[in-house]
Amino acid sequence: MAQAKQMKPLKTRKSNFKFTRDLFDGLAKQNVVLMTGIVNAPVIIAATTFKKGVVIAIAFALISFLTIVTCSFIPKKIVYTLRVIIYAVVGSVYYIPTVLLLEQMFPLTVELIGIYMPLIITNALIFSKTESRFYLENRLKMIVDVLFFIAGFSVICVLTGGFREVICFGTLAGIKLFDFSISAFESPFGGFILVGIMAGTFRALYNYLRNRRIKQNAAQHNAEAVKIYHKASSQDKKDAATPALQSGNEK
Amino acid sequence: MDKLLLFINAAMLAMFVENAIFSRALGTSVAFYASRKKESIFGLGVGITYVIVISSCITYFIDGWLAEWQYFYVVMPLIYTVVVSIVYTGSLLIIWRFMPKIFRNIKKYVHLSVFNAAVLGALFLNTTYHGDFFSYMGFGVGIAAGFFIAVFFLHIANDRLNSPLIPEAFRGMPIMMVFIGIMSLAFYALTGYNTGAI
Repeated sequence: MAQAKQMKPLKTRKSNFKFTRDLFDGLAKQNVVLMTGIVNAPVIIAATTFKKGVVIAIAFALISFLTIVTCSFIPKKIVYTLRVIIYAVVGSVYYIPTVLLLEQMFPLTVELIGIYMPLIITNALIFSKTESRFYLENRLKMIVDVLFFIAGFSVICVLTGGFREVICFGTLAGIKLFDFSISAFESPFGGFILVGIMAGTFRALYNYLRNRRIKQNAAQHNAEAVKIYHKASSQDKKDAATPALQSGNEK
Repeated sequence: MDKLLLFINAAMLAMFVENAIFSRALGTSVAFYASRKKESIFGLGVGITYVIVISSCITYFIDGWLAEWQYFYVVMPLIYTVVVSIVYTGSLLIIWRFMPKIFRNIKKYVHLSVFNAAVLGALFLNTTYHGDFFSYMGFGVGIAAGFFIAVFFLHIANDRLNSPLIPEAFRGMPIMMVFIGIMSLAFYALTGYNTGAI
């Protein structure tokens, strides 16, 4: 009984640690644009300015979050082949208030985004990630996880939009910065090449930081092991010396 | 003869100018998935072509009825999703009833060929161009054929793009993106795109 009581907090700590570690998956390790590449059409084609990036990010966040949370209540008894239809219908229902709201806030930008706005309802976060990840977790964790995945997409979308606006038009959020411009980055091929380079650089940076952390952890581990070894060996020496001294004194 | 010309014209436009992957980035993640195996290229290609063509025929009549409605663009995704869902369910039921062996084989990835950006994007673009019935069909066939061509190109390049010659961080998706970008540039050149730089 006493042992069981002692085990309980340990178990909780372990799951908490996992929870915090998994949180950042959506931001970096499994970023949907740069790492897994499962949601990229709006970023490549439509996010050509900072404002467009912001509008796409808001639409993506609202539609994806509401759809994933609502669809989590659909019973798992229904086969996935049919459940996927409900996901699509729920997504397109949430699209209606989202687009009406965004039209009030950014009327021209919504029109400029064109077909990439309604295409958000078919994003892989709703159709693939739900089954492989979100719906395997408990509801609270799922909500937080979804929010981080959405944040990962939104940050990249806004950054790409801002960067493309700077290099294509020499402006940022409509503020003129310089006259130099490379208009090709506004086109789809520019978008593909830019996102490809961004993804490669992001992966290289992520791998570098991960390897450095692993090395640091290994070094720390080794140092601790050496310390324990030295401590243990000095203790052994002491233990070995004590009977000798004792026997000397006796003599 | 005129109808056939309209069909071919719309198909060529969709295949080269509005290519699903190279010009519109529609269904890029599905294309990455399909390009890994030869069998999945064929399976997904056939599935996408079938759904786009049948759904295009149905949406032609819906567009005719609702095009004048002020809020059509707001409910358009919902209507098109319902249309695609009906086509998907009906086809699955037919396959399940009459071809159970094929049903068992396609069950795992059939949803990928239906609920993706290429299918819904093709329907939205069709509505934007708003041609006649044969143009709708031609456009649907063209988008699907364009998707098939793009996936085939990706499949050919797949081994080289994943080889050790490519830096580790760029291997896979990033270099695939750059490759699509270069191919997209070639497609733009084919249709006479001017970057404005010259």
